[in-house]
Amino acid sequence: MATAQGMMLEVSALAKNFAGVAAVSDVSFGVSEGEIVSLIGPNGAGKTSVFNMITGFYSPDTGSIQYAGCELRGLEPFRIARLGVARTFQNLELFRDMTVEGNMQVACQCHSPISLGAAMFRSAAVRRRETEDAERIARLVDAVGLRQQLGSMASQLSYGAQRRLEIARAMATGARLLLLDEPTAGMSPAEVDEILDLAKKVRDSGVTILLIEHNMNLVMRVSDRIIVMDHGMKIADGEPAQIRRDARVRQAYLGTAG
Amino acid sequence: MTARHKGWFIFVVLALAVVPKLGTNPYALHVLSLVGIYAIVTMGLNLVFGYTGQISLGHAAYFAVGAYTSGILTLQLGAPFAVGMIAAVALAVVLGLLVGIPSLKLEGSYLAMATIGFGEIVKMLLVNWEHVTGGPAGISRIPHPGILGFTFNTADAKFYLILTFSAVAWLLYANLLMSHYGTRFIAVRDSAKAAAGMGIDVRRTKIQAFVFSTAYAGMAGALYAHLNRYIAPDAFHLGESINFLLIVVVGGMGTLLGPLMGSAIIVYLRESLLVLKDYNMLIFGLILMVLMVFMPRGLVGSAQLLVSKWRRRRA
Amino acid sequence: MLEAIQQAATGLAIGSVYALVALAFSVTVRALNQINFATGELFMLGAYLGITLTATIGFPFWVAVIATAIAVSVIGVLFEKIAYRPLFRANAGHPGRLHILIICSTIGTSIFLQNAAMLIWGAQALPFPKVFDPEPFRFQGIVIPVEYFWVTGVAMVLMGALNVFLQGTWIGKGLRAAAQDRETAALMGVSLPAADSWTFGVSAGIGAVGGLLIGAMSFAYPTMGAAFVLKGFTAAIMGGLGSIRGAIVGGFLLGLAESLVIAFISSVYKDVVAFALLLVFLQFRPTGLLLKPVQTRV
Repeated sequence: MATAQGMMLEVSALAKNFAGVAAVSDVSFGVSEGEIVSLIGPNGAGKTSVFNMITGFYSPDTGSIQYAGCELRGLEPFRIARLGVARTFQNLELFRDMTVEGNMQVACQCHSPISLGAAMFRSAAVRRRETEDAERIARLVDAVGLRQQLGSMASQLSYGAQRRLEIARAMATGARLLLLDEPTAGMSPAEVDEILDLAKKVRDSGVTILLIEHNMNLVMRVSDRIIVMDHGMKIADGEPAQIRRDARVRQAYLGTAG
Repeated sequence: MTARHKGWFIFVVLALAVVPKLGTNPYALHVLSLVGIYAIVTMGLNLVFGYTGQISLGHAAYFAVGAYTSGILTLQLGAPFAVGMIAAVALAVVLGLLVGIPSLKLEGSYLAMATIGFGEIVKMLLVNWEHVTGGPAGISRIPHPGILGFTFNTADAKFYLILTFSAVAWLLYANLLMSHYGTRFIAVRDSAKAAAGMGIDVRRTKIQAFVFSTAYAGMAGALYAHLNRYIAPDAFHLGESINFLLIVVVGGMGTLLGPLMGSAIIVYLRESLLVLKDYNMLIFGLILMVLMVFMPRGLVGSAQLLVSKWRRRRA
Repeated sequence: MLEAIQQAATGLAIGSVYALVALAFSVTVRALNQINFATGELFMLGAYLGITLTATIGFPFWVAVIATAIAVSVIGVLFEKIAYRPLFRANAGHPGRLHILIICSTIGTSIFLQNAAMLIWGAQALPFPKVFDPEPFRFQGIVIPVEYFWVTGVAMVLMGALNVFLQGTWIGKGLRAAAQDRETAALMGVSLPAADSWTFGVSAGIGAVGGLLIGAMSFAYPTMGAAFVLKGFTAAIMGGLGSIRGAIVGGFLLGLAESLVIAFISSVYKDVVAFALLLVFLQFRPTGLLLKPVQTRV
């Protein structure tokens, strides 16, 4: 596999079994800085498991995950997030009883030097930091079109808005690598287009994106490169045009399409 | 805090400060002082339980540790009140760490029972470690608190002392929960997974909340010892831990003002039910059951809901 | 050695009561993942009803056991309908909050029941009437009070009956199905509200018989529930909370452990045993001895 220099993320020989069943076996791929790479494949192909291993929620049985010169394997999720890898969740994991603003404030603390004591005494550093965060939050919610809903409870947002909030929240951590797990699931075509624009905007701001997605139309339009998985293995890796022609990919999809 | 919050805070503290000047009798001041002490304990408990979502039915133990530490130090070793207070908070914090770290992996009913078990062990220690704790008879004639030569030996003076401690406790608690930092506790409660994904150290956050609460319980315990001047194991049993939890729930768990409202309501409800004599606890139990069904968000939570509905209707 | 055997007999009798309280816990945990903190007060009611039925009305012991079980089961069902179901309905979308509200509501119930008992039967401890042969069983210098056999025997019969009820009857099968997967059970035609009522009823009935049996060995007092709740819960955790067999094994083990501590160390530390075991098990083996540790997936 291509292991060129300057890779932002490099996954090699990753494997994970659950109770003897292989969820992921021998998966290797790389993501370069500034790319949008899509991870596609039928349900149960192991895509989310790969995400969970990169972000530390599962520990791989074998393999390594190199990110910007660090080995992520064995690190806890919050440490990986602090290194600049943020994610969204397939089944939405918003802080439901918090406002949109509150959700964003949590994420803004990813690199915050504020301590519990400073917060209790409301030091000057705390006030300064909170003003900065408020500006950052304003920019991000503008970008995802949630300015008006800043004070609404996360649980009261529409489904599409909840997905966009998750993306904005992940961005607020100051991530350099963003892992989006099915960001358009259950969305209308118009909302899908919004996500497409958003993804491009995020990429143009210098953030690398790894995307799990079922909407092929979106994948083909947005991706610089596509990785295809089936039954826990990688079966193809290439540019959208190549993937479209790939016989194995067609078989994997047609085989499960019925 | 915004200017409006500051204004309210100063108004309430001043209003309370006038109470002794209105010719209020010492017993009423004593009850009001108790409300302040309960409020301090339950501010801490609310952070653990209402905000971070970790149950504790053992907080009477930290309250007891605070009370006994300060009581013993000031009475038997003649230490000044300030030393007793600092030691009370420090010991409660140490104990909080010792209990908090191992109980990190427990949740829900398991955590509830583990904390009950811990509370009972502390109570047994109080009863059986007689030469230190005075056994079942407890410790009496604890000195009046004194700071810089001034002795708080009247109901008025003690009320002002406790009002000051409660006000400072409130400021620190409100600052924390109204800061961006405070959002991480709710984040851990709502989705520990997402919190971790956003770079929040979930374990550290839970321990911070727990230790904060044990510090507050220790502080309140020391105040309690010097207010009553008599402490015995009976005052720190499971019923007291349950009482703390009920205050948080009745006031409104996860609401800033919940502990204050809850403390006032529960303390005064109990006082006013005393006229029912033998029936008072029976009615108290019944009221609790009814409250859980009709006001699951507690007083403050329900009030907030009403206000937001009313605003939406007007908009 | 004699002392140890003597204490073991006590341990078995007390252990069988612990097992019943553990069962009362496990039944609701299995079905609803909820702990009924009023279990202790239902237990206490069992002890008082046992005394009233045998002493005042003059029922034979075994009739009193059955009557008590049925009467307290009805109270359990009432509790489910009045206090549990409205909470469950209103907060079904908030499992965390529901859990806490249930804990508080059951605490309210226990305060209510405790004080109701105090009003009805008084605050003083009430001795159980002498319904058993006062002459203890003697064998080779070992002296065992007759009621110990009764207690252990009744507990065993009740555990057997529970097993038959869950495995062999139509209602029991419905309860098991609902405990495993509520949605599927509902699709199969199990009425979930009815199943929940039965769950609370069965749990209350078992706990009440436990209380009656303890009453028969000593006496009844309004706050006796609190003391046994934690012991029963410890027994349930030791065996594996939610497991019927686990509750029984845990109960006997705890009873024996306590009596051995009394025999060889000191009765002062009897209560410490339970709490220490609780904390140790929660820390190192929270799933108990009989259940396999579960590996949770994120």
